[in-house]
Amino acid sequence: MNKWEDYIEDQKFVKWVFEPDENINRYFEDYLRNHPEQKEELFRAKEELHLLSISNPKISFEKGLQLYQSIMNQVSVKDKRTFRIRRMGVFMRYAAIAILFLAIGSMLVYFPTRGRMDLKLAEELFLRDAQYYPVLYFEDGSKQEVLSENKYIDLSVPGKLIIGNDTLSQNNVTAEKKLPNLFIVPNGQRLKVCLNDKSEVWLNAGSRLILPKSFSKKKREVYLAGEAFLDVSTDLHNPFIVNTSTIAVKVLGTKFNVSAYPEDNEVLTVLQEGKVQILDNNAFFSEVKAELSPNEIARYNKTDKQLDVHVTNHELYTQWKDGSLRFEYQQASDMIRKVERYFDIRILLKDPAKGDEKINGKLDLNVNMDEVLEYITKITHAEIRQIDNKTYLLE
Amino acid sequence: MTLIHSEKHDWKTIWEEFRKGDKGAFQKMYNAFLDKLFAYGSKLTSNTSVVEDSIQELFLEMYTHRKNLSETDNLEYYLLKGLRRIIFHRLRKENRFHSLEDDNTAAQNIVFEVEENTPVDFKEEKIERVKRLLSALSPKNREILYLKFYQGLSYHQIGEMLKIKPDSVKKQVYRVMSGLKDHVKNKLWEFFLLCFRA
Repeated sequence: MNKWEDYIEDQKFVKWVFEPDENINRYFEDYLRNHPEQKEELFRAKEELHLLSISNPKISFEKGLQLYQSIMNQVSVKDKRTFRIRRMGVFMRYAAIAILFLAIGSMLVYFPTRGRMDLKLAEELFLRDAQYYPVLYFEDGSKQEVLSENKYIDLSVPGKLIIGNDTLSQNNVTAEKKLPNLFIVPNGQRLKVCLNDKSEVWLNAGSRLILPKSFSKKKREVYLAGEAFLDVSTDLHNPFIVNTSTIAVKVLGTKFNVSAYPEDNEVLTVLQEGKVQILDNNAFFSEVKAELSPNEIARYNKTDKQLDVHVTNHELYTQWKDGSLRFEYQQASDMIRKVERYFDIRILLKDPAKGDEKINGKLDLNVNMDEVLEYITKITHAEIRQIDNKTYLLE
Repeated sequence: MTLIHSEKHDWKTIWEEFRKGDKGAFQKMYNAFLDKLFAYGSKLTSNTSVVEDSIQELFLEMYTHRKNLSETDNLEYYLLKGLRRIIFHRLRKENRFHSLEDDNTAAQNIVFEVEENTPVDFKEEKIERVKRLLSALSPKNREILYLKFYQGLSYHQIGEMLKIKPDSVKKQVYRVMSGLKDHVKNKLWEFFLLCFRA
């Protein structure tokens, strides 16, 4: 009586075939008792459909729980955020965000893990606002774009704030304004910051640096999302700590590069001079995971949470601050990602396997973009075609 | 039928509670659909961390926008559709898939396990034939079958999700089923012959 067309439209029948449980088995036992004449047909249809079996991977209980906790943690942060922003209105949005940062900054001392969560949220929040110039946010929520050709901020002169070629006297700004505590560098831009302890930070394209209110010569701790080269002034009694969402780098006075882009699967720390410690920020009490010597690289893999240390040439990772990139047997996708950020463009691959090819060479980023793109076609043995304003296709 | 019906009714209430901000309702939804979402996500990509992150993003997104969410009579469909969108968004970002062809945004990871699931008396060449039939299916067609039989979506919902006409969704399902039927029928016929001989 029933045709196969009817069977496959019957949810219970489908469940019986693919996800049988006690209830559904019982249901069909009963059904067959009442319709014995359909037995052959029913089993045949079952056998046919069963040929479409697919295995279904299961998520582990622990993983599911972990994921849920992570959601709830972020949810409670979001609750807080919407509350603040609602109350202050859209007009004060940036102010509210800056105040949130201040709150976070002071919280970080006591709740390191919570702070990192908020950093993640901040990453997410600011990525949505397209910007064309580096921006400084002040403690009172005001902001200032760095429009000058000279992308340089100097906080090291007491009472003065130097932005590019301009010097703002602190007397002219309101008492609350004081120092910028958030630096945002969009893709296609770079910014050099000299902190008040005389440490220098080169921020690469697509990066954000948070300077907690508590930052001082005695308490040197910053938060980084993205890439920065740091030349930290030596102070043997007061370590300088660079926090990322996964690891922290602790130094006394050295030159090193940290690359911690939220969208990358690896956090890379490369040491040029001196000594640094890599701490695990996931643990409640940060523990030392590795100590680097010059020309060593620490790769932290976000997926399996493993840290590996290898010998490398630091120039491969630090020369971007002088406008060039060097590659030795590295993946083409690494280079493409860096060039994309540097010029604020998007390069698509017609053949995803191209991204896995290993490349060697040096790329001078100070020439114009077209020359760089042409160079890319040479090292990847491919053609490049412009699709729209900011998008290119490598084929 | 009663089982499914009561479930639906229940979810409608839970959904309303969730929109009002009830975290208990939120947790209920998470617990109930996590496995289904993970299973479906794993069909779209073999990168487990992308699946996990996307599930997290989906629930966060729902929570953030809960007040603006409309009524839904099929929560499962709503979640699967959202997860699909997020996963492909992430994959495009990560893998730089240039979506010249539609199949780049279809389930790449659906494998039919013919070998393990054929009846013992199924002859080897028949297994080969069924395998060939199934492996010749495009990723999109595989996803249609998966959504139809494993996630229990309607032709209309599948069509909306994969941007195909519901009619052609149905046609694809029927085409595959008739293909399989032929093989099974032959097999049964042989089976009967064997019985007669004995």
